[in-house]
Amino acid sequence: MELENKVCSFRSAERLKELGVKQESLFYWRKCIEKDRLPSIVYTKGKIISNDYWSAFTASELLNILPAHVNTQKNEPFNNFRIRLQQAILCESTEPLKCVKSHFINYYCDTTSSGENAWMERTLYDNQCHDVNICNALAKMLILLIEDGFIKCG
Amino acid sequence: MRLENQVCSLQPSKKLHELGLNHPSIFVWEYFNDKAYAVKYYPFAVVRDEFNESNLQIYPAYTVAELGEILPDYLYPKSASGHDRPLFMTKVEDVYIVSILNPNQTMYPRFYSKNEADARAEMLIYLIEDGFIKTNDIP
Repeated sequence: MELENKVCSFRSAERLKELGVKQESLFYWRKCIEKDRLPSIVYTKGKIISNDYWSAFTASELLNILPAHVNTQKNEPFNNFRIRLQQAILCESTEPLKCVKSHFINYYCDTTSSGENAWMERTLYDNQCHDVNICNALAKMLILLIEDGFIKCG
Repeated sequence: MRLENQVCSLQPSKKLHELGLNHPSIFVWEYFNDKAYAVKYYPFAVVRDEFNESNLQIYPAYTVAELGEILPDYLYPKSASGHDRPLFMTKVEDVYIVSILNPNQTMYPRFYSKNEADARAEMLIYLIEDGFIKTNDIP
């Protein structure tokens, strides 16, 4: 597993920095001076505050930032949602058949509605955030929560 | 967030090593004795020297992403009448819970920890010990 797959992508890192997420992480993305080269990842135990560095968050760091539950403050009692992370096979194409193991994250309502299999069936978002890289799946969810005002940064 | 809190602790790492798990990791535990051990980023970790550091042992210190790669998405039934059971993670306050969702909606077994990597590692140990995963089958 490459280091790039153990941290969030440069694109997610850029967006998270734009949204004001604290830039404290083990790894950072650094843009290369040569324009054609892709950004590289640097490891540090110290905090880097610079316009040229973006926190390349690991799964643990993102899980630490993501809230355990989200309260939408409306539609009681279906207003409290808990984080849930699962893995499943995602079919990317049928011809040729291409299936990949992906990570899915969403917030599930902790109050049951009626009917068969109703328990934890309501979700905060209709579409799951998913990605082959767990860090990207978590980063996508974090970006959504900040954009929708469920988390305040800064 | 400290590096030690982003990888599984020494004990589960040792246990997984003993169980034959040999999956690559970017961090390792360097272990001299019970009072001297630390987690290191692999490229900068001490190179094992059999002559001068005979007590030094190296164990993979798996991250959440690495454990996610090893853990199965579902447990498939051992008998034809069984059901697929998904593995999932949730969080209550600052405690992570890694569990298996059973057909009757019970969550068993459950492994708890404030360090998600530890909860995942405990689940992996359980799955290997109970024969759901064979370490030889893990790439």
